[in-house]
Amino acid sequence: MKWRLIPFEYEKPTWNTAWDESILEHVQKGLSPPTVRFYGWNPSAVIIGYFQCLEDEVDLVRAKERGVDVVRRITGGGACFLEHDLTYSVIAPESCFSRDILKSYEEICGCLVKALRNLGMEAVFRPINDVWVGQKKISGSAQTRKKGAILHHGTLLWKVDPERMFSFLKVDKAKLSDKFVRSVKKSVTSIWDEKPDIKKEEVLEEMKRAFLEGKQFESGTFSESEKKRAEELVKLKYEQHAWNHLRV
Amino acid sequence: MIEKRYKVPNGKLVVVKKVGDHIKIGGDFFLHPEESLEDIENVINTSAPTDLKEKLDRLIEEKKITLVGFTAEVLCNLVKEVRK
Repeated sequence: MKWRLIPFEYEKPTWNTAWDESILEHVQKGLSPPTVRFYGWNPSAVIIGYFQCLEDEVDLVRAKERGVDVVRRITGGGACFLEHDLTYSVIAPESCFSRDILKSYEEICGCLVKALRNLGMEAVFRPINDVWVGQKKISGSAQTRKKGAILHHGTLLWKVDPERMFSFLKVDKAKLSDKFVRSVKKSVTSIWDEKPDIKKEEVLEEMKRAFLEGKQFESGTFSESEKKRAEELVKLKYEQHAWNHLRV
Repeated sequence: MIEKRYKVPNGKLVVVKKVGDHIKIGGDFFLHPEESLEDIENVINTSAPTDLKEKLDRLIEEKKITLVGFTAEVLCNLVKEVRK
């Protein structure tokens, strides 16, 4: 089975979520090969989990004022603020990974662990869906399985600014003190904190190597059919108030 | 609206809200398939408190639902609290 690599590019948040879903549908139908995709976010975005309530999670007024997009994704998990970060998606038939969901998290996150270790960081998989370096989180991820295919996507934190992050993500105001910001700084890290001299290209190269190790693959881009479907999903779903405000 | 939240140790956050007579579930957990949340909410909203755990367990088994980061027991406890 030949995999497709879609190299890193910046995209609008509604397009990033739509590409994932469009590729997932195409993989389900056997119309697209299993795919590893790397991407960034332009503009910055808050992406919320499928089961979350938008108003509970995001300061929507501030996000709008500051040009930060807000989009619901099709996978569960928590809200994340994405700005300088590197995101990956692995989209493949379920048969490519363990049937056990927790084990498959470990398998896929294990690729990122390997990449980070190759870059000299003491990375470990931390169940359920995280990768830590030392005692700090550097990556979170989420997975869905639909009609025989898996979409697993995750983010590698490039640079963390807790004050800015939590100006968009809602937490109890009482928690948003210096003490809270200090505790976030103590529990979250980033490539910038761990390896300040490293370039994004080096990290992406190591991620590519780790995610595609032992697999036949070729670099490619989206098919016309994937593009058409992604365009529909942007317009009919990810830009829609009804989708983004799905849960109260 | 009444709302109760519980962060499962080493797991995920579960939020149960009672809006009028209707109970809604949310949080940062994982649930496979995702669409089964509607079935879970339906069971919660149509079951007597004494039957709830048994009915949820049956639904989870019959529909092969996987809860990741929380349990049916956590849901039942939160539902009990918002119904008080």
